[in-house]
Amino acid sequence: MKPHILIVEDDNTARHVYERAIRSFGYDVTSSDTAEKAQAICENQTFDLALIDLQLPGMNGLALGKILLQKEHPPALILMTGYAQIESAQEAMRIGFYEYLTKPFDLFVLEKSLTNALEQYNKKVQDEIYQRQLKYEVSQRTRELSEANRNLRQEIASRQKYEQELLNERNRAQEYFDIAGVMLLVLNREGTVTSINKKGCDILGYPESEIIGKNWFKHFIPNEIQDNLLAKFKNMIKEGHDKTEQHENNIVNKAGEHRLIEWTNRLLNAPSGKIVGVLSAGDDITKKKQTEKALAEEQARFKLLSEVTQEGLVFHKGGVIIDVNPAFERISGYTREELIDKNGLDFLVHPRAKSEVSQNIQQHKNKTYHFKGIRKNKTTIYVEVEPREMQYQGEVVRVASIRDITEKVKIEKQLESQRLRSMQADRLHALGEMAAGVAHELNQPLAAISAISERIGLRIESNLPIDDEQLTNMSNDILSMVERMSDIIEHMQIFSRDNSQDSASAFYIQDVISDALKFTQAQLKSHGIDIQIDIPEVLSPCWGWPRQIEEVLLNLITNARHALDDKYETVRKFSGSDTIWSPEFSIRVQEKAEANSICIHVSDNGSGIPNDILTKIFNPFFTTKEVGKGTGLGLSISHSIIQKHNGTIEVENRPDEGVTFLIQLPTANRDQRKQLESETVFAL
Amino acid sequence: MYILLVDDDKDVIKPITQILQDFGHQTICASDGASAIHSLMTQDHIDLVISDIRMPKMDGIELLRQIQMRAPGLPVLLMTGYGDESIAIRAFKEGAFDYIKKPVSLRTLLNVIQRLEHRRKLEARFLAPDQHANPYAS
Repeated sequence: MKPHILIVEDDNTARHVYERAIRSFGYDVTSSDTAEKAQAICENQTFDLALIDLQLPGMNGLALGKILLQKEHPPALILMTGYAQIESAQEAMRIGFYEYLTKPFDLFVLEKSLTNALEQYNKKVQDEIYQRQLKYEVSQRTRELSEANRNLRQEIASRQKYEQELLNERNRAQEYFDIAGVMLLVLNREGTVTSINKKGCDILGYPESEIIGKNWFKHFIPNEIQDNLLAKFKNMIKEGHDKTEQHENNIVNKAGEHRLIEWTNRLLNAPSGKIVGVLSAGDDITKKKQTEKALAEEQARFKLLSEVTQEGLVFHKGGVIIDVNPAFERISGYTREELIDKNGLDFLVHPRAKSEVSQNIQQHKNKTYHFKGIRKNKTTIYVEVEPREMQYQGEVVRVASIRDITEKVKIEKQLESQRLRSMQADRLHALGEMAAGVAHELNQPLAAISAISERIGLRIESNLPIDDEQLTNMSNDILSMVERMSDIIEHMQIFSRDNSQDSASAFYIQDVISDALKFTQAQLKSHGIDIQIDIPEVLSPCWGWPRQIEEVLLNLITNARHALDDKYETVRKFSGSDTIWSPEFSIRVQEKAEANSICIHVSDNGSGIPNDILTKIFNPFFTTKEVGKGTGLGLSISHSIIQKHNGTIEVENRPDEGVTFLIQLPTANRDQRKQLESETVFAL
Repeated sequence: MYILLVDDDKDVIKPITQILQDFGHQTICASDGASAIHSLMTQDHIDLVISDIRMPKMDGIELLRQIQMRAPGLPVLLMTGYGDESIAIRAFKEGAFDYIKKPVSLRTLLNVIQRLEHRRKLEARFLAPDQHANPYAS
């Protein structure tokens, strides 16, 4: 492409000359006669070179040059000046014109200037392009750089954060390290301690500074196992694997004590993978071991004890069996395996005892009691249980100590039934005694009837008439005698019946005394015994078993009669005719309202009881009477009867002057009296 | 005869009194030894004492002794219960006229009294000729 040149010249001739000449140089030309037109042309076109006259109408050449130089692609500028316009020319060079030509100038000079200027201009354009490319590249590069920079900054920031976290972690790790409940220890490849935590220092008893840098095995391991442990340590480093299984060994602390430590080890690797040491965590299990040992010994001892003891032991929770000992296996007939985890209430306890037993368990009662159990072979067994609560294998459980008391209960039952039989026998004996009294009682009316019958016979034999009045009297007498006898026989039937099952009732003591005397009065009288009865007319009722109280009275009356008979014999045998002694027997009753009791004194004036046997008189089977005359149970039974009534029986002994038995019976309470009243109403 | 009956049991006394009265005797009763002595001292024509052996306060033996002290020769008949034979034997030795077992047979009692009356008649005939005409003398 040809270079394009703009000519700005107000002189037409000069302008045409320049146009032709420049075209002839081989350039395209555009021309203008004013600066303003030239400026307008340059709005739409780009020129390689502008040849501008200084003197122009309107805007001058310098001003136009300044405007064109502002363009993106400014043309090379050449200024044409007149003579003596050198200052303007210098000004133009400063502004950025390439050259100035002083008029008149030779066309050759013009061509030369144009060529130079265009060359210069091209160079400048190329420069500019290069510059521009350079600039672009630089900016591009700058952008890349700033991007990289930003990334870098980010990376730095994240790295800082990471480092902080790392630091935190390290601090935390250090903290953990220090507060860990186990001792933590870092050993290097040689076994030298490089780090130890607080717990480790505590266990060893040294400050950290005295531990770091010391060889672990040499300083803190007992001599006898030093070599062995060091060899193992070296082996672990060499083989390069952690011993995952734990092991325990003793260490020596500052005080010279051995502590048993359980270790867990972890190999420490450098980033290169090289093993640099071992981190060991050690738990001081000395105490735990001691405790375990003690516990094991305790358990062994306990097991031994529970196995050798004759008492059955059942460990259970709410009846569910946890363990039993061999003695219990023997007692129950079950094996341990058959019992464990089963509820003993369901099959070991008799159904009737179940509620009592389970109540005792629920209420955590620790009182010894008995109940009926069932053995494996379905036989019943009486057991005495002494329950306790205790720690057993870490739990609170109930322990029942169980004794088989079946034999004991059997013997007790036998004794009881023997006692009952004896009591019955004694009552029969008393009945036998009574029979004598009854014989007297019956003899009297019998004698009377017999006498009436004899009288009739004698009168008839002697021809003495019997009138109607006499007959009526005799018949009445006979009837009254028969009634008296029926009465005695009826009462005897009531008394001899087994009344041990009767329920208690309210009764009046005066009735009981008069019943007792019914049997004995005649006999006492026939033995010449003076009877004195002193009973207040009004008495509160008593509560209990009237026939049993009557039995007590009969016992005492019989005893008194025997005592009086004995004394009578003795007196008759050894005394002179002037002896004034006659047998006396008395029953006195008093009510002690303030004590809610009734007091019965039964006295005789016999020989009394020898002091040496006084303490034995209430003992069962104690008797001074000859064989067959008494069972020796009378007073012991009387004693138990009175006790059963919540009363007391005491003896007041006056040797050679007689005996008084003092019975106190509680009077019936309000409820009990009501029964008597209702009975009375019913009877009415 | 005038008879003193001593027993603390009315049931014993009643039929005896009746039969004795049926056969023409007169009776007086005492319930114990002391009142018997009292009757004896106030009634001076008692011919016979019938007494129980076993009595309260004063028994028959003691009463026998007291009677012998106060009215020597007055016959005393003792009534004995079951088992009192040894005492009855002693009573004989002490001077009792006789004894009868309880329950008392009225027939036996009447026989004993008849025996006594008979003896009294004999005694009257041989021992008191001044007061009674001697049948052999006349």
